[in-house]
Amino acid sequence: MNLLHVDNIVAGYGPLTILHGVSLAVDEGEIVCVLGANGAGKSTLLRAVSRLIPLAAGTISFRGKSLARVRPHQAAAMGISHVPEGRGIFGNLTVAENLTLATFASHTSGAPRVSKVYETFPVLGQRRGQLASTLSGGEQQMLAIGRAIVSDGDLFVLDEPSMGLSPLFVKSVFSIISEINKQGKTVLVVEQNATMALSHSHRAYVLENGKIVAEGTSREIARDERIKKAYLG
Amino acid sequence: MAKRHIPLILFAAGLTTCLALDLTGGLDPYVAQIVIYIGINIILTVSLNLVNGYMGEFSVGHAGFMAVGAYAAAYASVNLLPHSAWFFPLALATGGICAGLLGLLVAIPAFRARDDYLAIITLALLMIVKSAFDNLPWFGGPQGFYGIEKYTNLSWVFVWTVLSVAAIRNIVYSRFGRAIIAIRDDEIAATLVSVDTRHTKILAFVTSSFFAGIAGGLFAHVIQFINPRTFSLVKSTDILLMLYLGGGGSLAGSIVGATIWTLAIEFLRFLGIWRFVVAPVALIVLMIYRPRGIMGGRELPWLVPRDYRKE
Repeated sequence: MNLLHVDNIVAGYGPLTILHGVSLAVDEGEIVCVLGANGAGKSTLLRAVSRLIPLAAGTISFRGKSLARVRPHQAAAMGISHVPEGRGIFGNLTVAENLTLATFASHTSGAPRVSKVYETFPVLGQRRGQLASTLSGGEQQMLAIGRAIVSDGDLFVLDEPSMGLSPLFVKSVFSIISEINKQGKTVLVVEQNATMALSHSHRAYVLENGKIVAEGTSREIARDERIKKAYLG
Repeated sequence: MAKRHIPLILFAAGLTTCLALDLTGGLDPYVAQIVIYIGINIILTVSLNLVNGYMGEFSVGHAGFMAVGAYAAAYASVNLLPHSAWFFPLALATGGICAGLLGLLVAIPAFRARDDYLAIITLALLMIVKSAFDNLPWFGGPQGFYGIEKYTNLSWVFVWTVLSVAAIRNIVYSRFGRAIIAIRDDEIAATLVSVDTRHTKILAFVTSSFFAGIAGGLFAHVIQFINPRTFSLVKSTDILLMLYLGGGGSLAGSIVGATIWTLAIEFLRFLGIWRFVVAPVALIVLMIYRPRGIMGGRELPWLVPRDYRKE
């Protein structure tokens, strides 16, 4: 049984359909990346998975359970930790409050996981009492990932974690993703930085105009001439 | 003496002073009336702050909830309860609960859609409430509701003002309150960290309506005569002015804003009708030079719980 199974979904915004029958599967312990150009429907796919947008057709199941009637905060409580595009930091709350809010549904303090986040990202520990709006872009990305760690979901859904970050920082974000994966978390990541994503994932899908046009192990995809041309330059 | 007892001692001292002034009549009735209005306005502003300040929504219907609280409390104390000051808290509670229930009725549909139109819905509510009290047979229609005893005094206003500020403070600094602020910052992200945003918004709105109802009850029992015109859009605008004058997202801001505005309207009385020109113009000037209000979203340290001050 797949951890996440997306079957032939059609979704979009109002009258505008973005995804025209997308299917993908993520197994426990994998890092799966979805590549695609701007406007291919990558973020829409993730928003459908975390139930932020309704489905016009198709099904999504998580641990074998259908997500058809699940609302987004319930999906989060079930273990889907979505780090949205643009990070979604709560600027008027402190770093520490941002992290503890990730345990909202479970009514636990999440203290051991919060201290783990401070270990992984020492800079967040130093700034725990600071308002999150005062963090730099890179630090905000760490906070967003840290929040997902504290929420302790089984599936991390990451929307362009490299966006707006310096090359050096992109590298460390991806090594943290690998580290999280080694500790038993499954990751579904959407990226434009194909080189980085393919070298840090097990399997990959390529999304074009709302359809999956290629899939395979990341090594296969990286060798594919067409894809090389389109995404790797 | 432990430091944590200071608020309790201050509260006791304040209450004793109010009781003494009420019993002896030591305060000029006109001054006492202004102090009572300040207290009522603080309750209105602090409760609106929860929705418009901390949660970042825009409700313009606060006067509607105040009206329901005023009418319900007045109806209870005149027609239902024994005519004794001892039953006044029960009348106030009736007002608060009725306003809270109406808040629930409004919030359920208002926060249903992702893009909510709270301003328009609360504006409609205000009109419905006003025309309901104009036309329902039990409340005196457009002539208003007479014969309300003057139960509101300094002591009751003091107790309810402190209670409201303390309640809103405890909510804001609780886990629930942090979720309210998260909704203002980024609603989608709040959902993604498992906050039931709709549920949270409804609960905050009902709480806010409840305290507006309490303020309405206090108001009815000081002015002793209420009519539907008292609770028009102008009244809602007044509360909004006090909130944004002091600055949203700050309890101190609400207290300062309500106090200054109430006093300004009183002191500018000699200007006659012109005070309703001068005061808003002063507000516009303030908004230009201090767009986030007098407090600018900051809080006085003694309004922040102890474990938050350390960080």
